[in-house]
Amino acid sequence: MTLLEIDAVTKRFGGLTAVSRVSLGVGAGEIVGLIGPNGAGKTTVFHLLSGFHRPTEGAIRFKGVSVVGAMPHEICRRGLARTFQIVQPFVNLTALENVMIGAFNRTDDVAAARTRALDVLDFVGLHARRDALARELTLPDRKRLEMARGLATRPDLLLLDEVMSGLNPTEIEAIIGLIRRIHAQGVSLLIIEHVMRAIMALSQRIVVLHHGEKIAEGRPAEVARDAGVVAAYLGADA
Amino acid sequence: MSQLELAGVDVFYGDLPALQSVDLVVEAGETLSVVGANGAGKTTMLRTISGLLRPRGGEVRFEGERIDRLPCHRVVERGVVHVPEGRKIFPSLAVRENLELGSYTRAARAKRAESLGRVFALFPRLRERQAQAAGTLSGGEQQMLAIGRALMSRPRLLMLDEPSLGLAPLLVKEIFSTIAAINRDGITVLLVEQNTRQALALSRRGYVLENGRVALVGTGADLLGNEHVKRAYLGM
Repeated sequence: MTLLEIDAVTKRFGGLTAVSRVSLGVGAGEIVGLIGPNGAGKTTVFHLLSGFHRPTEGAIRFKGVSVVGAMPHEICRRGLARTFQIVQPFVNLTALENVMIGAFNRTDDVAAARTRALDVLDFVGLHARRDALARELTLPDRKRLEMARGLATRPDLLLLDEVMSGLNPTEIEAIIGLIRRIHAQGVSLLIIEHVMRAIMALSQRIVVLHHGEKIAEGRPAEVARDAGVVAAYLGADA
Repeated sequence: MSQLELAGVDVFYGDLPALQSVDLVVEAGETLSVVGANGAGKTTMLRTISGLLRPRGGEVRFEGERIDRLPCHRVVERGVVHVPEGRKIFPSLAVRENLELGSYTRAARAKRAESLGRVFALFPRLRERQAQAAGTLSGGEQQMLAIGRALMSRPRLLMLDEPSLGLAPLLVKEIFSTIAAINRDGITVLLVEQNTRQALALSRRGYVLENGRVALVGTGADLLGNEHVKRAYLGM
């Protein structure tokens, strides 16, 4: 089943076309990578999917139902959660409180939200830091917190926006392991990432955007050989 | 005498030690990398050198003279210029205005036209876009602007904090080859990077910081071959 369908979506800001007739899908259980140069429109696609922007044209369906015009919290309740490239925690709340906010997506009960949040913190490896304020966490821990907040909402599809940026290769390996464990729990993923080693290893399929248009789509090895992708994104000898 | 020397530098955030007894030397004309995990103290070190933070102990000397009590603008006048993580350009100002703000010291102002010519030669995109608001540039162009603005200050030592952050692979390559070109012009480069492999490959020497202390020093090639570095920072 196609979990997410984006059908010929265009987003214009005044005279600027940020996303131009892009179509892509994410199947249930799939990991799809979304790559492209800076300014290609990748994050705009995430904004469109999560209800921060409304498409100028085109359709977006999640589990067969249109999400166009739905509020971000409604889309989240339907099972589509996202993270932000620049992590957006509540800096003066603890890690636990931050994740509980995500858990309230599925429950009004404080004890249940706390239980869910503690489970998720344990899952992402932040249990020992649960009482630390978000602003006291190191960058790798803040990236984990960002993912924990999304997971606490119990998504069927999780959108990850550059969760590896600013991390060193060893820290990246740890995040790759975490993403595999999230996937093993039955969560589908759409991942924006510039770390090619990670995106190639994780993705079953990769979609490449350039100047707001889809210029390539395919299995990781095919995309890495594509001349247009090499010219626009990877550079020679990539 | 080395161009830059840190001797026994201790820096604290409140009660929390961020750098402990750090010794580091940078030789004139070299490219030197500082690598390490997030939170190891790399950015703190650059902020201490540029005068944004005061060490509680130890000394920072540039060309033989102490600079650790100088305000930032005096450090810039000496020729030590910092390109901060996240670029910190002025988004509502034009590209050219951002560049001109880099040349506010008396010596740099006198050479503004010549500096601008050099920056535009290095980054033709900035020439094309000089009248445009800097906030409308792409991430890679903003990084070029931040480096260009620093070059306008006529640095002898250029400190770069994660210049490849958030950039696509092709742009990462461009930024690293630009750094090499800047160094070939005789400017010493002190580079802080998470992109450990490329940073060490570019550098004559490297330092590894761990928990606020210098854990390893060596040539770039030695560190790339070091088992601990491979495991801890290269993900091998």
